[in-house]
Amino acid sequence: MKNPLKLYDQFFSSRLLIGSALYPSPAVMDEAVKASGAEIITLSLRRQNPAQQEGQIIWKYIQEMGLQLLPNTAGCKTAQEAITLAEMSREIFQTDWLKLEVIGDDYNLQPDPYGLIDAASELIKRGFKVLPYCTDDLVVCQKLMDAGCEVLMPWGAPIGTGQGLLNKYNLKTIRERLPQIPLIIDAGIGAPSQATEALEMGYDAVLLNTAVAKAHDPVGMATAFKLAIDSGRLAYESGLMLKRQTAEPSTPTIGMPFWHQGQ
Amino acid sequence: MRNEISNMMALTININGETQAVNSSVLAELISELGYSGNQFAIAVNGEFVPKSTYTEFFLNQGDKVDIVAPIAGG
Repeated sequence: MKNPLKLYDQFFSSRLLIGSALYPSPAVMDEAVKASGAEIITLSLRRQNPAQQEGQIIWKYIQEMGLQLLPNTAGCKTAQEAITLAEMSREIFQTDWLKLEVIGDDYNLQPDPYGLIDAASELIKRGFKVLPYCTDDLVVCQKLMDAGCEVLMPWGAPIGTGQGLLNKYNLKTIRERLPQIPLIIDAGIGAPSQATEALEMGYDAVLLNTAVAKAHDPVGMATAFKLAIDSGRLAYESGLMLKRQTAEPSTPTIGMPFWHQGQ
Repeated sequence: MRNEISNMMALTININGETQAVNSSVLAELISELGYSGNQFAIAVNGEFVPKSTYTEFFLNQGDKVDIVAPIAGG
């Protein structure tokens, strides 16, 4: 790849950020993540008592991968909840990186833009590297940048829906109006072709989980997404042709035999 | 930091959503009492993060809500 992905002064060759949830087993998660080539992995924190082992097994696998950790604040509904969980994450995971989620609606898990901006402002003051999961709203994106976010993660579609890029007009507008900041499509990607489309549009990366974890063959799907994302980025860097309304022959017309003979 | 409670009577507090009586009034002791060990957990009391470095001097009060979290998979 010509240009590596730069996020908060770190460089990555992979443009796929991957989630660690919903896989059939920790071993399959491990194999799928490796097949994806991802260098950044999301994970979370939940209440657990000392007898619970499930989280510990997953955490052990993730630690051994040696990837950049991206803890999330999934499920938080207020800025204060997200801030507290962020501090807990930083202590356990020993990283300032944070996928900031403040959810405003239970039905479609839509981010609450007000809580999100409030939380982002405070967390950046506290030294966090905030990657906010936001809606495809240009002004919200601008406000998050004003708060100090150096990466934005607008949704393609609601989490876990696999609907792809639902509002391409909004997503294109954000890309055109904010040409400098890294933009990552977070959530809603269901098929590799949708990821390719995001990269072709100039989005810098894609974050996904369910599409790989819930595939019949998560390892195969992880590979498919890796190829799709590399392809989309290469296409973007190579410069896509402009669409036009009318046909134009790709084969030369000069020297065409039988020219006008049938008329 | 919180006010020290003078008597050491059993406390009734809420731990991860469940009300229970505990013997420890200091957070560091509570952790041992509950069976947590190692570094793979973090704590908030009444919605506020409590850094590990302050567990030994953090005193619990009746009715406190203690959240103890650990890593899990996430998207």
